[in-house]
Amino acid sequence: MTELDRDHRPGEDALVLQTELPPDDTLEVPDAAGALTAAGQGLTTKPLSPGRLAWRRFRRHKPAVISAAILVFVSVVVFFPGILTDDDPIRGASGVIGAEPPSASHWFGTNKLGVDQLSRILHGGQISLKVGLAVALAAAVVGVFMGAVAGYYGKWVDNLLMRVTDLFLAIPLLVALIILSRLPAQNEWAQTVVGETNSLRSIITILSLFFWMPMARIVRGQILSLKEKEFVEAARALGARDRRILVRHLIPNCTGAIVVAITLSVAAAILTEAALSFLGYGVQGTLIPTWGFMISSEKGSYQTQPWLVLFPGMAILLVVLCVNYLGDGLRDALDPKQRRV
Amino acid sequence: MVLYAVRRLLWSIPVILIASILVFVAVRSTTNPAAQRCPTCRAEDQQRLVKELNLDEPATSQYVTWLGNFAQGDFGKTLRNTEVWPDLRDSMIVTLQLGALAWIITISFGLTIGVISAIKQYSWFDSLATGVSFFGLSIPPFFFGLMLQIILVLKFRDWFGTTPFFTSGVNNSTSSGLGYDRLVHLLLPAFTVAVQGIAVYSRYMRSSMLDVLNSDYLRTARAKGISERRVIVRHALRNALIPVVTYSAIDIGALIGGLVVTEQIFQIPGMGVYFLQAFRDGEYVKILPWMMIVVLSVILFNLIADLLYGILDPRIRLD
Amino acid sequence: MRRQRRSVKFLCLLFTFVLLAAACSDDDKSDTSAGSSAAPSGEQKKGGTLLLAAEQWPDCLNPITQCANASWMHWAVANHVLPRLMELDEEGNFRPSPVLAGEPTLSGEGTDNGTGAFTLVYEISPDAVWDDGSQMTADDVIHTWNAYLKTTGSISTAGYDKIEKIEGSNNGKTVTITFTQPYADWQDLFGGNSAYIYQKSKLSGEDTKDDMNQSYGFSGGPFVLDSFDATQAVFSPNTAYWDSDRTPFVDKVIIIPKTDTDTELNAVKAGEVFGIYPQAAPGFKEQVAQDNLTLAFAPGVSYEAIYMLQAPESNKESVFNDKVVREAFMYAVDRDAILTQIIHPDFPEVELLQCGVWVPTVGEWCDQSLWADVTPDPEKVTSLLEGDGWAKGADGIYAKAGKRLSFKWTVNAGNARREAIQALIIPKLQDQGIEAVPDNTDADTLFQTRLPQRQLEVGTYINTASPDPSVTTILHCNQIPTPENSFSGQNSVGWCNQEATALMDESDRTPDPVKRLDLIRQIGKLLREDAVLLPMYQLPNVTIVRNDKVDGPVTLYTPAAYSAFGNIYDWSLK
Repeated sequence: MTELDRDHRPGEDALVLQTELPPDDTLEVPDAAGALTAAGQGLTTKPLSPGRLAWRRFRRHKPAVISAAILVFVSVVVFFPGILTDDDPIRGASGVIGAEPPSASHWFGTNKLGVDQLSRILHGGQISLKVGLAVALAAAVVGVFMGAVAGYYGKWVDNLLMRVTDLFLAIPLLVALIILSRLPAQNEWAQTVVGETNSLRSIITILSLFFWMPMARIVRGQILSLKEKEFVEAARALGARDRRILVRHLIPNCTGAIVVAITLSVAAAILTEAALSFLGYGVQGTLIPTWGFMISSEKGSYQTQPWLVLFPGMAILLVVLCVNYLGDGLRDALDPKQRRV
Repeated sequence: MVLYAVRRLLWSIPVILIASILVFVAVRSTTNPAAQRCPTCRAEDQQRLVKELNLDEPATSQYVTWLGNFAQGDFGKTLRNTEVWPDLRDSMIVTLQLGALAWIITISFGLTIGVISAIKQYSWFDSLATGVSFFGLSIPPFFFGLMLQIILVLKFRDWFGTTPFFTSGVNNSTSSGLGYDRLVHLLLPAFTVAVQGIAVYSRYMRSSMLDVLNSDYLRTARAKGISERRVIVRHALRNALIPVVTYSAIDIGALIGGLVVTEQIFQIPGMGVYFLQAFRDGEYVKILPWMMIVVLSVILFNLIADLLYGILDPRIRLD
Repeated sequence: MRRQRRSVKFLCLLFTFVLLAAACSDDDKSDTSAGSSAAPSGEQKKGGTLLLAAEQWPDCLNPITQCANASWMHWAVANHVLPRLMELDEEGNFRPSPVLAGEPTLSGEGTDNGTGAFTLVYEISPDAVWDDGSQMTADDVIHTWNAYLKTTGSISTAGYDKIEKIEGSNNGKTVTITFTQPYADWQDLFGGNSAYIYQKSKLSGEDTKDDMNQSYGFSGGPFVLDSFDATQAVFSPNTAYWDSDRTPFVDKVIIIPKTDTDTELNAVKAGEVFGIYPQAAPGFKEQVAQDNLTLAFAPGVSYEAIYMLQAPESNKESVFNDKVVREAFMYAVDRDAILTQIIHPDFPEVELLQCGVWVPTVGEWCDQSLWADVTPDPEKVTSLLEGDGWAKGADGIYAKAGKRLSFKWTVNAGNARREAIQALIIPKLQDQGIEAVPDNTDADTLFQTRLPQRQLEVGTYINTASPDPSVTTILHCNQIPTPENSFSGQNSVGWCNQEATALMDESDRTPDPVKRLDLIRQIGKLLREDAVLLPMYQLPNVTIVRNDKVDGPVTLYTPAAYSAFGNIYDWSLK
C-alpha cells in the first residue's frame, strides 16, 4: 500500500508498549463497537466529555485503580520516609553485630551493620523513582517533538529520524549505557555534557538518550495515521498553519498513546536503572544504595540472610508491577480505538 | 520486493560502519593504555610497553588498519596475542544456544497461553494468565534469576539431596554441541530470559487472536457453519500469528547482544560476558567485530520482519 | 475407576515416603569429622582425577608478557608445569627448588666477601631434566635471560637489566651470573614469586611473544599441561620428573573457571569441584557450615589500607595535603570497630596490620610498632586539628580559612566489605567534625582510570606485599603517575619523600639481609611520620575443600604465594 505500512511495523510499538494491541492502521476498524460501548455507559442523555468517559473506563479496571493507590502510597512513603519509620538509614544501633531477620522492631530486618532495612529501602527508593520519572518525562518531551515533526513533515526528515533511531536501537541498550556511563571518567567533554560518572544526572541523561526513540516512533506512527484524516484536511482548508495543526489538533489526539507510553517508560526506566546498578554502573554518591545496588551487594548473602535481597527485589517488583497495571488501565481508558479486550 | 530488500541492505552498511566508529571512539576514550598493560609494573616498564605494543598509535590509524584487515577476513589478535575469532565464535555459539532455548520455551508457553486466554476470554485462566504475564514483565530479570538459583538449586538440593540444574557456567564452552550437559546448564538462564518473553508473547498473541476472533470474516465462516475448532485452527490462528511472527523476527535479531544481564548472573560465557570482559580490558579488537555482528543481526532481522509482514499479510505490498 | 483412584493414592503415599526418606537420609553424611584432614590420614591413595576451581581464568599463558599479570595464570597453570631456580615455601621464605642441587653462592660487592662484581652461582641438579628427557642447563637460563629482556611486550626487565653476563660450566650444570651492580631481589630472577626458566630448544627465539600463549610445549614441573582452553586446564603427571617427593598421587588434574564467589562456593558444595581458593568474602562461615567441607584460612600477603592521596589530579588543594589532617584522620578512623563489626563475624582471627606496606607473615621486614599507637582517639583528633588552626563550623564540620574539612572517599561499587567500611566509618567521622563523601564507582573505572590518573582523594583498596620487601614500585618519587608520563607508575598515593626514595634505591642494591633490614625499617618510619596511609588488616586467604573427596596437606599452602593449589602434587583422592 503506502510508505506508511512499510515502515510501520506492528512489532515496534510492542517493544515499549508491551501489553498493547498494535495500532493497526492497515485495518480500518469501524468505531461502531466503541461508540456503542460509550453510549451504553452513559445512562444519561447528556453526552459525557472524553475526559469523564476515560475516567469511567479507568475506574472499571480494578487492578489499575488498586495499582494507582499503591503507587501513591509508595511515592509518599519513599519521599517522606518519616511516616513509616524513624530509624536512621545510615547508622545502625551501636554494638550490633550481624544482620537481624525481620522482627517487630525492624519490619524488614537489618543489614550487617545493624541499619534498619525498611528505612534503607525507603530512602534508596528515592533515586529509583526519581530516575524513572525523570527519564520518562525527558524522553517524552524530546520524543513527542521529534516524532511529531518526522511524522508530519515526512520525507527526508522522517527518513533521517528512522535511520538514526535504527542505528541507536540496533546497539543493545545495556551495552550502550555501560559504555556511555564510563565516558565521563576520562573525558572532560563528556563530564560537562552528561555529568560525572555514576552521578544521578549522568544516569538520567544517558537513559533519556535512548528512551526518547521508541516514544518518537510511536508518536510518528500516530501522526502518520492521523494526518490523512478529514479533520486535518478541514483545518488546512481553513488556513491553519502546520505548527497550529500539529500542536492543537494532531498531538492532542495522541495524548492517549503518549500517556500510556510515558507510564510504560517509567516501568522500563526503573528496571533498566536497576539492571545497571546490579552490574555496578548505577548511581553512587550517598551511603544509601539504590535497590539494584542493594541486591548486587548483598547477593552473596542470599543463602543465609535472604531478607537482605528479598525486600529490595520485591520493592522493584511491586513498583514496576503497579506502573504496568496503571499503564494497562490508562490504555483501556484513553485509547479510543481500543476495544474492551 | 527484492529491490526493497536490496535497498535496505545497502542502507545497513553505513549504519554498521557508523555504529562501529562510535563504539571504537567510546572504547578508546575510556581506556588508559599505559595503566592497563601492566598494573603492577614500574613506570619505565609501562612506558616501554606502550611503545613496544604501539599503544599510542593515533585512533584513526588504528581504526583504519583494523577495518582494512577486517575487510579481508582477518579478525586480528588481541594485545595479549590471542586470536580474536575463536573466542568470538565460541561466545556466539553459546549465546545462540541460550537464545534458541529461551525462544523455544517462550514460544511454546507464550503462544499457548495467549491463544487459550483469547479463546476463553475473561475466564479464570485469562485472569491468571494476565496476572502471570504482568509479573513476568515487572520482575527484574536479575532478581528472578537469583530466585531461580535459590529455589531450584539450593533449596532443591536441601530438600531432595540433588538437583539437575546448575547455578552457573557451562562446562566446556569451546564445544559447540548442544548435548544434555550443555542443556542443563542453560536451562535456568533460558527460563530467566523466557519469563519476560512469555509475558510479552502471551499478551501479544492474546490481543492479536482476539482481534482476529472478532473480525468479520470469521463471523462469516461461523455463519457458514464451519466448526469452531476449524475456525480457530485454520483461520484465526494463522492470521493471528502474522504480527507475532514479525515481532518475533525482531526479537530474535536482538537476542545476540541482548542477554548481557542474564549471562552475567549465570556466568554463561556468551556474547554479553565477552563484551563486558573486552570492554574492561579496553580491547577494541574484540569489541569492534562484536558490535558489527550485533548490529548486523538486528538490521537483518528487522528486514526479515518487514519482508515477512509483506509476504504473510496479503493486504500489504512493499515497494 | 476405583482401581485407578486407589493406585493413585498409593503412588502419592509412595512419593511422600520417598521425599521423607530423602530428607532424613541427609543426616548420614554428617559423621565425617570436620576439619581433620589438614594432614594426610595414613596412606594416600593413588589415582583418580582432581577437580579444582579457579576464580579467574587467564586468557593466555606467557609468563613474560602481560599474561603474567593474571595471578591465576600462575596459580592455575604455570606453577604446576614450569620450573624455577629459587622458590617460596608456604611461609613466604625463599629456598632452592628441586631444580637446584643446593643453596646458591653469593659473592662480590654487597656480600660478606665483598670484592668484585656481585656474582651468583647456581648448581643445577644433575637429575633435573625437561619432560622430553633433555638436561636443564645454563643454556636454558641464558635463553631465559634474553627472553625476559628482548620479548616484545615483556612486562618487566627489572633485575635482568642488571645482569652483565651469564656463563655455564660443568656441562652446563653450573650457572654463574655476574651483575653490573649488587641486586637485592636476585631470588625473583629465574624463579621466586612469578618468574621461571624456559626450555631453550622449545622456544622460537629470544622474542617469545608468539610462544607460550595457549600452551607451553615443555614441562619441568611435577605436571605436564595436556590442554588449556577457555573452559579448563588439564594436567597429567610428568613422567620425567626427578624429585620423588613431588611425584603426584593423582592421574589427572582438571582446573575449571568459576568466576563468581557464589558460583565457586556452590560448585564445591555440590561436589562439582573438590577445592577452591576464593577471595575472602562475608558470609563464608555460614555458607560452608557443612560437614564435608573444610574451611581453612591464614593471613595472606594482601592487605587492605586506606590511602590518602597527596595533591591528586582531581583536587590539587585536597585537605590531605596537610600532614596534620592526615594524622588526625588516622586517629579518627575506628579500626577496631571495622574489625569487630565487619571482619570478625566471618574471620575472627584477623588482626590489625600495624606495619604499613609489609606483612608480618613474610620475613622480618614488618615492624608492628609503626602504627600501633594509632587507636581511635577523638580527643587527639580535636587537639591535632584545633592546634593546626581548624575550628568547627556551624554545621559541625571543621573549617579553616574558608575551606571545610571535607573529602571524597572512593571504593569500588559492589564490594560489600568496602562499602560496609564506608557505611560504618563515615558517620563516625561526621561526629568528629570530618566530612567524608562516598564517591564510589565500578571497579573498572576505578582501577583502570581513576586510580592511575589519581582522580580520587581517599581510596580503600588492596595492595599485595611481595616476598621481597622492596617498595620502590609503589612509593618511589619517580613512580608517581602524572599527565607528563602518561600516567605510568604505581605510586598512586603520590608520596614523594626524597630521603625515603634514597633509602629505597640503596636497599635495592643491598643483598645483605641484615643491612637491608635496617634500611627497610628506616623507610617504614618515614612512611609513618608522613602519615601516607592507614593500614588496616591482611586479607585472609581462604581454602575450602571437600574433606570427603581429597586427602593430604590440602590446606598447607593456604598462606603461600603460589595459592593453596601450590602443592597439588601432594593431594590425593579419598
